[in-house]
Amino acid sequence: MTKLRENESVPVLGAFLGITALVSALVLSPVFMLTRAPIEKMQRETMQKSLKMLNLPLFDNAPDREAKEYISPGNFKVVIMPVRKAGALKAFAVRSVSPDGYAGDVEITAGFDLAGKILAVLVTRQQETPGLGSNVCERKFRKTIFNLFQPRPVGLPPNHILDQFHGKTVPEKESWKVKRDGGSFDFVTGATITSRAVTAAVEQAGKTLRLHMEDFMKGEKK
Amino acid sequence: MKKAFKDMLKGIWKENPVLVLLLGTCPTLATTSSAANGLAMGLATTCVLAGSNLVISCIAGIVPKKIRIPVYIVVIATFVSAVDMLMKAYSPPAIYSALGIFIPLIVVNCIVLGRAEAFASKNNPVRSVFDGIGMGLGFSLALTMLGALREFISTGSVFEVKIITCWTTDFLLASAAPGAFVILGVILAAKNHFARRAAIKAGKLYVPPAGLDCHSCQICKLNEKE
Repeated sequence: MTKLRENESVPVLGAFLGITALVSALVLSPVFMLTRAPIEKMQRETMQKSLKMLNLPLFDNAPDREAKEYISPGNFKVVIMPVRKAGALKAFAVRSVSPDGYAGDVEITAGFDLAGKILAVLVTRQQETPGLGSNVCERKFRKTIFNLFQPRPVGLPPNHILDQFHGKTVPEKESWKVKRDGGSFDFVTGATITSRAVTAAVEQAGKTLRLHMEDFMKGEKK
Repeated sequence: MKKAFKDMLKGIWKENPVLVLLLGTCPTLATTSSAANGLAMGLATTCVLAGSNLVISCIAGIVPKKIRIPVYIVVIATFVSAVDMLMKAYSPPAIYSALGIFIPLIVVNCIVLGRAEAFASKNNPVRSVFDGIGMGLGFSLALTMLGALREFISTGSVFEVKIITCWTTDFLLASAAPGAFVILGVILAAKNHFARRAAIKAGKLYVPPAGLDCHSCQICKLNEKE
């Protein structure tokens, strides 16, 4: 054993490192197998939780399983998920990723009805500055020492920036802008970039849905 | 067994990795924007430390000296990957997305490699595990403390529960990285101040811990002047 400890020949050292890496891989593979299913389940649950918050009408399909991917007119990645009840199309959940956040991608998920009206907007993935950009994105009931043990209020927690899209329809031609850029949407001072990214993502989601809604209408009774 | 227990306790306070040894400052400053994040990061590191210390103290006798560091890193990386996958599967999504890239970065956390090299490779497995747990708990304690302080100073809440309900505007300095440096500095200064006062009161000479000791640092050559 001491021989191995003092060994300095390159092939032996190389072999030792190789064996270490092999053992490590052998240990990790069962962990990977074990956690694969729970990780997928966790991701699905997160997905379903966000779908539930979108103010969608009641549905009984799995929208994420019927999802189709598109590239929007503004080159955003957009995923359209049809929401059905007993096979009939009821609404859409649309996920759109804006690459122009302050710290990387901002992913929004929005609910649209069949006329293209926005039901609710939710930011589902972001890494914006905590306390500044994240305030544009978060929908959260604030816990305080006074309401700690009271039941949580039901429904969608309010967020001024995200709520202003509700009930609106994305126009076909002109683009949505925040007030600083001459548009009509409020933004948070100090988090203009995040506000812009969210606005653009919602707009691209709506525009892509306009272009491709027909794909889901096929076989639908009008 | 008593010795092992002592090894554990020293990591929590007397040789606290953050407050005394000043190791692993990167995750300390980066992940402690809230108390819950700090606690989760601390516990993840504790698991890695205990596991890697155990394995490394078992294999230390047969690892060739020349390649011991890469071998230790592979062992540590194995544990970190396992913890990463387990956290992705079972921890609340909010915590995992907040800690994000910092979980894989435990691999290069100085505390983990430092304990492997300085303790686990020289001591028996039982003592090494207890040392790892102690160091990990000390790390968690410091991170939770720093996280809670930063969260309180920036938003008036602790563990996402608002203590001061009329606090509506966030004080962003405390939750951003520069604030972390300032608050960690204040904590270190306070800890040293009280340790020194206690030593003087007991009539002893105050010897700062090795990491913070003026004499062990060669930058201003204090040793030669005396």
